[in-house]
Amino acid sequence: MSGSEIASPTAAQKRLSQRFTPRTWKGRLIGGLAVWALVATVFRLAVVPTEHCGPGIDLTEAEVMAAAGRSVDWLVDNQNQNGSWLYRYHRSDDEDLGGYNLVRHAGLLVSLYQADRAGFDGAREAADSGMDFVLDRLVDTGDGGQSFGPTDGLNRVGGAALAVAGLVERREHTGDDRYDDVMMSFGRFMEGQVTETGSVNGDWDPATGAAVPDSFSQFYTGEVFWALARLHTIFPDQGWDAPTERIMRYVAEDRDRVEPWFPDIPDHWAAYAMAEMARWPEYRNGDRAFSDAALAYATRQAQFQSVQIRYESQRTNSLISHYTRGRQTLGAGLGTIGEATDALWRFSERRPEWDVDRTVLRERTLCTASVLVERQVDDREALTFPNPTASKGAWFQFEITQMDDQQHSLSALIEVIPVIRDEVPQ
Amino acid sequence: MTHTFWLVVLGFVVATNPFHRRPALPLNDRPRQNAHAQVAIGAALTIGVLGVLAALGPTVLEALNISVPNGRIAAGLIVIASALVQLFRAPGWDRVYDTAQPDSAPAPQGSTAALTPIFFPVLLRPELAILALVGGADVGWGPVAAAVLIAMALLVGWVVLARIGHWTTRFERSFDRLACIGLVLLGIDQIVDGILAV
Repeated sequence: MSGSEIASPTAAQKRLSQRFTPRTWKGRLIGGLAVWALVATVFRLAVVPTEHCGPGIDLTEAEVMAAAGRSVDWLVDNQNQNGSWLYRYHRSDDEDLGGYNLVRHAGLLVSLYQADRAGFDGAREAADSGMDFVLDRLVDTGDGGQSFGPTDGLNRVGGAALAVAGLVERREHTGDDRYDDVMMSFGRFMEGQVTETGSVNGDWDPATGAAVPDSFSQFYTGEVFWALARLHTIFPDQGWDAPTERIMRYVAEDRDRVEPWFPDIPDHWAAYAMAEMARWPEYRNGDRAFSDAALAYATRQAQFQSVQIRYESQRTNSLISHYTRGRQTLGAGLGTIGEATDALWRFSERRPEWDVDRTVLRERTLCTASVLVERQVDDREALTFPNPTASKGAWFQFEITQMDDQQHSLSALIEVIPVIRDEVPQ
Repeated sequence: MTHTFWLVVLGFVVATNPFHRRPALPLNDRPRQNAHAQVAIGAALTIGVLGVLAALGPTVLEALNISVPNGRIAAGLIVIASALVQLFRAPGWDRVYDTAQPDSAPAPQGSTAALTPIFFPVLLRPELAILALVGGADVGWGPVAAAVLIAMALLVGWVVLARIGHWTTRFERSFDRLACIGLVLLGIDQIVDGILAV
């Protein structure tokens, strides 16, 4: 056999081989071991660092209740006389950074009424006070509808939606019907924002008295979806199911293409809505069923949330972690993952036809809650800051907390309790 | 990890890549039968180690706090890196085919060669190890062990059957590159699977 008869390696391959091939087999052995060590080290540090899920599936209800209690305390202690809350706060400078957001205000009502249902003292009073703030800012939108927003600027439909979601929570828990009329008027306003295709106009303009066409929002669509779903749960004869199902079809099949969003929106509000719809008697008794597209959408949502918590749980803010994973996310960001996984878990338990690994979904849900518990400022850490009352029970990033950090995180913690108990509220 | 057995097998075959490994094995400096026996022993050792890794997969990933989907992503990245190295670096060719040059790194004579270099570092590779670990945690020990067995059997079969000549060499080089491309696709599949897992 002659070398000239045989196809030779390319010149580039030869150069590389000559440069990197050891001269002896011992050298090759050492080289092999070095490659293994290098691969293992690089991958452990940069590709698959520890997922810090804390106790994970061993997370206890007591731990969650303690963390949720601290969060409720923050919301009670940092509420203003008019029912609004401390919005943005710098803990080291002990500085109120100002600003406010009405939709997030309504979101806090949800969290506090959820906390009230879970038995936290003071939560309902704080939420009712927050509700008074809402009632002082109602705007007539015509046809019996009302919005929650400014009279001299665009009204975001998310404010009315989250107020409804919170009030339904209150209504179901207490049986008190004092806010029924408000809920119905919010419902009529929201229904007017839903188009024939199921898309949701996010804004309503008092100057024109009409919805702003194609004013799509990443969040309001899901919020209206959930609020209308909840309205149908407690007022099943009012026809709230039709717009709800229109939104579901749109969200599952068209939204990300039409609006457009890429990648698809990880939408915890839509997850809440689907879990709510799964409670409807029509779905429970089999008269209606979730479409394949809706179930596929739920799967995509579970995938988005899973990859997010698998990534987020790797972040420690250490030097290596900072440069390979980035800084830890906002409390609100982590909380929304928790809200979504909680809701998807409820949906999975209520709809067995949804083909998802429930054990793994539960693991991700409990991992998220564990990370929330670990990153919250606890009693002892709070004492290291100038104003412990404004620090304890909150989630900070860059020394700053914003009230929606508490909103989403508290909701995620409250709604994980059934997951820990492994019992689905019907 | 792909969830059908034959895809697992295909994955381990392209990751084993007999067409890339054979030229790196010490076959020309010893009697043919001895060389083949040593390769078979090295392959058996590899099967054993990878089988153990597959069985330990769930425990190891749990101990390291790595979820299976993230393990898949890591496996995919390692597999792609390995495939690219193999595409651009051919460790055996300059030594085995170019008979004008003596073997630059002669292997130990005798059965020691089955352990090193055949078992390690030629056959037991990082990409195979991580595929076995993650695969064991994902699809279970059995399918992975069976896939490794088939892949190593193909490697030993190719080593025994190959008669080096002009066309065999061309065939080997072409299929080596195909296997590398298959390995890249396998890696992409692993990464996408890992990202999109619940």
